[in-house]
Amino acid sequence: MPTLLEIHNLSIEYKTRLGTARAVDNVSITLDENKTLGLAGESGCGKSTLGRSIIRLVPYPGRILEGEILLNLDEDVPYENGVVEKGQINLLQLDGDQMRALRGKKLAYIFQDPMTSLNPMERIGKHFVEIIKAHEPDTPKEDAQVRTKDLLEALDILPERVLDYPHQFSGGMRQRVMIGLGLTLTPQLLIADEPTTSLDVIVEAQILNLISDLKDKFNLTMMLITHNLGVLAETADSIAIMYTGRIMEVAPTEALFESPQHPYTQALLQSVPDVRKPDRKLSWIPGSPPSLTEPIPGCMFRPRCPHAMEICATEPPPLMKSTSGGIVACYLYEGS
Amino acid sequence: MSLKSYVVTRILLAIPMVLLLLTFVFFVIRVMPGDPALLHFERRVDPAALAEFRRRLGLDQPIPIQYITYLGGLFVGNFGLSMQDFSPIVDHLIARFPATLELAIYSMLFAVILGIILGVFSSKRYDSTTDHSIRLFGIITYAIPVFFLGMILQLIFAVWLRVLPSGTRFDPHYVPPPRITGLYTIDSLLTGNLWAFMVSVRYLILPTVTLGLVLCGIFIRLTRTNMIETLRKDFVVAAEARGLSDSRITYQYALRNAFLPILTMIGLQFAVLLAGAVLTETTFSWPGLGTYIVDRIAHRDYTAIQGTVVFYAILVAVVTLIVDLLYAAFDPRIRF
Amino acid sequence: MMGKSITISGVFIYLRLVQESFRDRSKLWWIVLGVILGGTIALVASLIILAARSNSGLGIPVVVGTILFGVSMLVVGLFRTLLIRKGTFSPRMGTLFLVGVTCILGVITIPVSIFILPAGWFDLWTVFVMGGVAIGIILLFLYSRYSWLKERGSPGFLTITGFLMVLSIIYMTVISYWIVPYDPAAINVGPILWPPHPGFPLGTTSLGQDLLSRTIAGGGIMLQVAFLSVLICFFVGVPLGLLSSFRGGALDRVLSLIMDAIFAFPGLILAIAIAAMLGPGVINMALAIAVVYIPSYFRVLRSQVLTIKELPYVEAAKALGARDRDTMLRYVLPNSLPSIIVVMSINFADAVLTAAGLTFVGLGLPIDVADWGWDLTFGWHQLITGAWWVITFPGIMIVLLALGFTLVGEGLNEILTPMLKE
Repeated sequence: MPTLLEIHNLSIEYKTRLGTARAVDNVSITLDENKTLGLAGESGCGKSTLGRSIIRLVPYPGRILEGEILLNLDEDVPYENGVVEKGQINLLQLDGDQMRALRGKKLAYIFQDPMTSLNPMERIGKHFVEIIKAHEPDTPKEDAQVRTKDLLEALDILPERVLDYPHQFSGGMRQRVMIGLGLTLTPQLLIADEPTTSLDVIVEAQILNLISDLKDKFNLTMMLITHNLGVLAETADSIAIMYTGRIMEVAPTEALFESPQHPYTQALLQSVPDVRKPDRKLSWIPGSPPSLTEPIPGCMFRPRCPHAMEICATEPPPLMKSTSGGIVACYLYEGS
Repeated sequence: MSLKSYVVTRILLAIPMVLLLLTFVFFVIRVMPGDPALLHFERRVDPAALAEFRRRLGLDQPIPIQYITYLGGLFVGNFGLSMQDFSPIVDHLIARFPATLELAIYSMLFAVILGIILGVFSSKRYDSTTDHSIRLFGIITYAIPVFFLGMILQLIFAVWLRVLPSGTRFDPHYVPPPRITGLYTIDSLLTGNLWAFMVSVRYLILPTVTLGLVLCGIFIRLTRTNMIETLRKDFVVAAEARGLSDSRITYQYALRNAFLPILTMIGLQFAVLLAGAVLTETTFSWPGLGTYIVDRIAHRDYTAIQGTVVFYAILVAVVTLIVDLLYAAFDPRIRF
Repeated sequence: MMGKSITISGVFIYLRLVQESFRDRSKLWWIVLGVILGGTIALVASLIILAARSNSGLGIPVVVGTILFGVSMLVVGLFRTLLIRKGTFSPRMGTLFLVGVTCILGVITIPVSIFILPAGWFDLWTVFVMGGVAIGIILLFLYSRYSWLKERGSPGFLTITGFLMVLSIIYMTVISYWIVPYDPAAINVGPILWPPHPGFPLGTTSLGQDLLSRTIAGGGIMLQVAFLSVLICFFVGVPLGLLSSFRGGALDRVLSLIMDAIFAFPGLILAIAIAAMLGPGVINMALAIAVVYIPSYFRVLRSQVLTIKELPYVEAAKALGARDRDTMLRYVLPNSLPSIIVVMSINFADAVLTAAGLTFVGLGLPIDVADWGWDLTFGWHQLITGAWWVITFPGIMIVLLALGFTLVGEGLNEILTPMLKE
C-alpha cells in the first residue's frame, strides 16, 4: 500500500501572553492512499492544529517549529513561477505560492461551521468558478459553470441555485457546498475538520453518507478530525487518538474499539454510550488535562491515569508496537 | 418590503430629525436671554426703526405664530429673510451650496480612499511597526484642529513654495465656468473647458487634502479593525484553504465584507465633514455655506444663522438617506 | 522574570519587560526610552531656566514648591503601597490615606504662600496645590505600579503616555502666570512680528506680544471649557440615559429621537449656533459644547443598559426582589462605567478641538486673554507674510492636548472594552 502522507516529528507552538503552548508535540503519523484516518481527542488536544498544519494554515500566533510533512504528489502542479514536481515533497519547505497552488487542488479542507465558511457577499456558483479559475486559469468561464452545475447535481443541490447567496441555504446544504468546493478539483487528500459537529443528527448522517460515497467515487484519501468516536467507528479505517498535543495510540478501527491499549483510549471508550451494551455503566475521566503552557515532565496523562508508574513521571513514553496491531505510547506495553 | 416603501419609510424617519433641530434652533434663538433684534444692533436704536425692523422680519408676531409661519415657509423653500438686508436667505444658501458640496465630495473621497488603503495595509501587517505607525498617524490626524492643518498646508504650499493657489474657488482674474451644477470641476468638463477644469482642481487641492486628512483617521481605524476581524473569519480561512490568491482574498473576501460598516460610517461622518468644512472653508476663504454662517455670526444675523442650520439639517438627512439606500443595494442579505 | 521579583515597578521597568518579551523590537524600545528620558531632562531644564527668568520673579519658588509637593505625594504613595502590602491598610484605606496626607500638605502650604507673597497668597496657594497634585500624579504614574495598565501591553502604554501629556499641559497652564517671561496679554513688549530669536525664543505676534509667554499660558480657557463641558455632559447625559432606558416607553422614544437628531447633526455647527446666541464666556462655550456631546453619553449608556439589563445575574437579582433603583445603581451603572469613561476621554479631545474651532470663528473670549485659538486666528491673518511661528507653536500645543486625551481614550478603549480578542 503506497503512503500518501507522512508526518515526522511535527511540533507546533502558540505564543500567547500566558506563555508558550505546545499544541502539537513531536507527532509522527502516516496515511495510506485511499484510506480514511480518524483523528480523535478532546477539545484543545491539538487535532485541528495538526490538520491545519498540513495545509500550512495554522491559526495566527501558532508557528510550526520542526518536523516534516511529506506528500506523495501524483502529478506536476504548475504555479505562477514554475511547477511543483510530482513525487514526494516536503510541504514545510514550499514557499507561499507553491503552497497556494496545492491548496484546493491537491489538498482540500472542510471546516467545522458551514454557516460561516462561505463568503456572504458572493453567489454560490461564483465560489466554484473562483476555485476553478484560481487553479486552472485557462478554463473558459462557461466550462467552469457547466462543471459547477454537474458538481451541485452530484451533491443533490438544484443546479439553478448557483445564483443564490449563502444566506439562502440551510446548514446541511452549505456543508454540502463546502464538500463540493473541496472536491471540485479532485484533490488527493481531503481533511475534514469536525464536518458534522454543528449539524443536527439527521443531517449529520446524510453528510457522512455523502462523504463516504464521494470518497469511493473520487478515490479519496481522507483525514477525519472529530471528537465523536461514533462517527469514526463507521467511516474510518484506522484511528489516531491525541491527547495534549501528542499521539497516544494509533490502531485499525476494529482493533481500537475491541481492545483499546492506552489507558486514555480505554477511559475514553468507557465514557461513550454503547447501544449494544445498555447495562454498562458510563464512566468519566477524573481531573482535566494539564495546561499546555506549563507542561509536566513525562507522560501528560499520568495525573489522571489509573496505571501510573514511576517511570511515567520522568520521560514521555515513545510510541511502540501494540498487540492490537497498532502503536501506543505507554510504558505498560514496554517489551511486549 | 418594496424598494418604494423602504424609501418612503426612510424619508418619514428623517423628517422628525429635521423638525427637531429646526424647533430647537428656532426656540434657542427666541427664548434664550436677549432679544435677537436687540442683540443684532448691539447698541441702542430708534424704537420706531426697531419696530419696523421687527415687523419686516415677522419678529413682532407671537412666537407660536412665528413658528407656524416659518414651518409653512420651509415647505415652499422659504428660509426667512436676512437681518442685514432683508434678502431671502435661501438665495445665499443656493449660491453657496455647490462650493460646499464640491469640497465635501472630494474630501470624503480622499478620506475614504486614503483611509481604506492605509487601513487594509495596516491590517495585513497586523502588529508590525508599519501597523503601529499607521495607527499613530490616524490618531494624530484626529487630534489636529482642521484649521491648523489648513494653515500649515497653506503656509507651505501657497506662501513658501507657491505651487498651489488658495483663497477662493477660482482664479479671480478670470470668469469661472458657467453654472450648470455649480460644481466647477463638473461644469468645466461639461462645457469642455479643460483649462478651467485644471484651475478649479488646483484651487480644490489644498482644502480637500486638509479636510480629507483630518477625516481619514476614522476610516483607517474602522477599516483596520473590520479587516482584522474579517480576515480571521472562517470564510476567509476557508478561501485560503482553497488556494485562492492573496489579492482575491483581501479584496473580494475581506474588504467587501468589511466595507458595509465603512459605508455606514461614511453616512455618520458626513456630519463631521460638514462641521470640519466650516473651519476649512474659513481657513481657505472658500465661498461655501461655512463661510456664510461664520460671516453671519460676525454680523449677528440670527435669522440667517437659523436658516443655515436648518439647511444643514436637511442636507444631513438627505445624505443619511442616500447612504441607507446604498447600504441596501450593497448587501445581498437585504432584499426588497 | 524581573516582574516577579520587583514589586514596585514603574514605566521604565515596564518598558524593559516588554522589550524582553518582544526581542525583535528591543532597538525601537530603547529609542523610545531614550526619547522619554531625554525629553524629561530637557523639559525640566527648560522649566528651571524659564522660572529663573520669570516676569513674576517668583518662578523658582513656585516650581520648587510644586515639585516638592509632588515628591512628597510620591513618597506617601510609595509608603501606601508598602502598608497595603504589609496588610496594615486595605486598598481603600490606602487611598484615603493618600488623599488625607495630600490635604494636610495643602494646609501646610497656606502659611508658606502667605510667607512668600502676603498680598496674593491665595492665588499662589491654589497654584501650589493644583500644580503639586499634577506633579504628584505624574510622578506616581511614572514610578508606581498600575497593574491594570501594565498588563495590557501597548494600550496601557498609550494610556500612560496620554495621561502624562495631559497632566504636563495642565501643570504648565497652572503655573504659567508665575513662570512666563512677559505678561502674555501685554502688547508691545517686543518688536512686532519678529521670528524666533534669543530675546523672544518663539518670536512675537503682530501686536508685539511675546509668543513664548502666550504659548505657555494659552491653555487655560481651553482646559476650563473642556473640563466644564465634560462635567455637564456627564451629569446630564448619564442620568438621562439611565432614566430613559430603564423607564422605556414614550419618554425613552422621545428622548432617543431628540438625542439621535442632535447626534446626527454636525456638532460644531450646532455649537456655533448656540454659542452665537449665548455670547462669549467660558460657561457659555462649555454649555454650547456640552449640548453637542450629551447624546454620545446618552446613546452609549442606553445601549449598555439595554444589554446589561438582560444579563442573567441582573434578571436573577430582579427575581430575588431587587428594586429598580438597586439594580440600576448596583449592577447597571458599575458595568457601564468603563464605556462611559472611554466616551469621556474622547469627549475631552473633542471639546478641546471644538473650543478651538469656536474661538477660530470668532466666538471665543475677549482678546485680552491669552488663548491658543486666538493666536491661530491672528496668525492666520498674518499668514501671507510667512509668519509661521505665530500659528505653529500654539497650534502644536492644541494638537498635543487633544492628542493626549485621544491617546488616553484609545488606550482605555482597548483596555476597558476589548473588541479585538487575543
